[in-house]
Amino acid sequence: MPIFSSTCKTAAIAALLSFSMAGSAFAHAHLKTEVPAHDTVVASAPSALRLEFSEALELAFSGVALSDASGNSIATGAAALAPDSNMVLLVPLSGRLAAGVYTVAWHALSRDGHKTKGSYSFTVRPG
Amino acid sequence: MTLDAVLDTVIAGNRLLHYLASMLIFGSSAFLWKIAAPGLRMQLDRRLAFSLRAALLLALLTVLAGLPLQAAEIVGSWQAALDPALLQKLLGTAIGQAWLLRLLLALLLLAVSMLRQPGRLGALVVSAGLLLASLALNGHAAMDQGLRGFLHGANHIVHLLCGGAWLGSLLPFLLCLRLLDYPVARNDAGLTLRRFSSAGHVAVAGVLLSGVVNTMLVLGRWPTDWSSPYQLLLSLKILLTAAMVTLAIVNRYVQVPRMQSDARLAVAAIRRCTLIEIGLGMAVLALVSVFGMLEPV
Repeated sequence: MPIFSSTCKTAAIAALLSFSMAGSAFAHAHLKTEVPAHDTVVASAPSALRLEFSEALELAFSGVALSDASGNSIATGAAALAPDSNMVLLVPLSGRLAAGVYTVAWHALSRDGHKTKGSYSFTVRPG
Repeated sequence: MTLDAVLDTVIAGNRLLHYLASMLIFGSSAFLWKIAAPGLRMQLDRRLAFSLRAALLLALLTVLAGLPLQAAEIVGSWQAALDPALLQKLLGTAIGQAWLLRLLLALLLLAVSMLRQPGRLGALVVSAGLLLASLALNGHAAMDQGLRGFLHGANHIVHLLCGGAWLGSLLPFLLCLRLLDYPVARNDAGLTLRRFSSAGHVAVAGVLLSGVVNTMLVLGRWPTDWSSPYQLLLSLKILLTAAMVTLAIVNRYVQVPRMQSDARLAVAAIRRCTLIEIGLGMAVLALVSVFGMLEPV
């Protein structure tokens, strides 16, 4: 069956290709790094939050809620994607953050349609 | 059950119905178009007409329900499903664009089904194939970028089409088995079953190979860590698929040769095996409907 053997050959090549490319892949957007980083103490109040994810985001359905130690929510600027990467969420901070512990609760929708959420904290040192 | 759990169940159910309907349309019209002996085509078409019409309606309804359900899931409330502003916002995303395309394809499929012969079957196969292939626009097949993303999508399309051709053709296959009982149709039915057997090899091989490639692309390893729900359900799927392949092989290489000596018993056995195969195939689709939404770790 010539059609059968050529199908097999194509599939075998595809299989080889994929094995060589196989790595860890995530279909859900996970938070990889943040600035300020989680559980760190920063000396000066940040002017923006930067959240880098493992996957491309849908901006319209991704964002953060910032709150202080007593749970009051802090106003932020509108979240945007970084100009050079659709996996990076930038949130400008309009007001200067006072010293204290802050919690960032984030939610993300990956471009392939899966949603994820999480939270982390950082501290602004008095001074 | 929490709202999220209810929503996930409804979404999985909707996906399952969509897979069943679109695969039945694709596989059975492909069977009529390319496998069935010309003398049988009209007769099989008539016998399949009701199932096909039901499947067409179901395919359209399940696509329609897709976007509102996704909106409800993203926001976490039922009201969101019918919130026009939210739906409009969702239409602006890659998910919404893919949904629009799928809606157009479902409508095209419905329009094509109303055509008259002779071009109808070919057009049905092509448009049902497009609808199936467009499933690769969402979900894990759409998670990669660049060349890898393209190959991932292409491989997933092969998987969907081969799976649809296999599963969807089992119903007309059963009808053909019945026609073996009628002396007038026996020769044509025999020819059809032989053709089905050759094409079946290609579809099954395509399902298995593209399945392996898919696993490597999404997971990057064999699904042996059963503490991960994704890997557990994928392993179950592989097990059920292996059982389906075994049944197909028994049918082809044990029962078909037996038809020379003991036709009646062999045909009865093939019919039983095929019914079980259809049940297993539906279970496979149910598993996919669930773990397609889980995190592939």
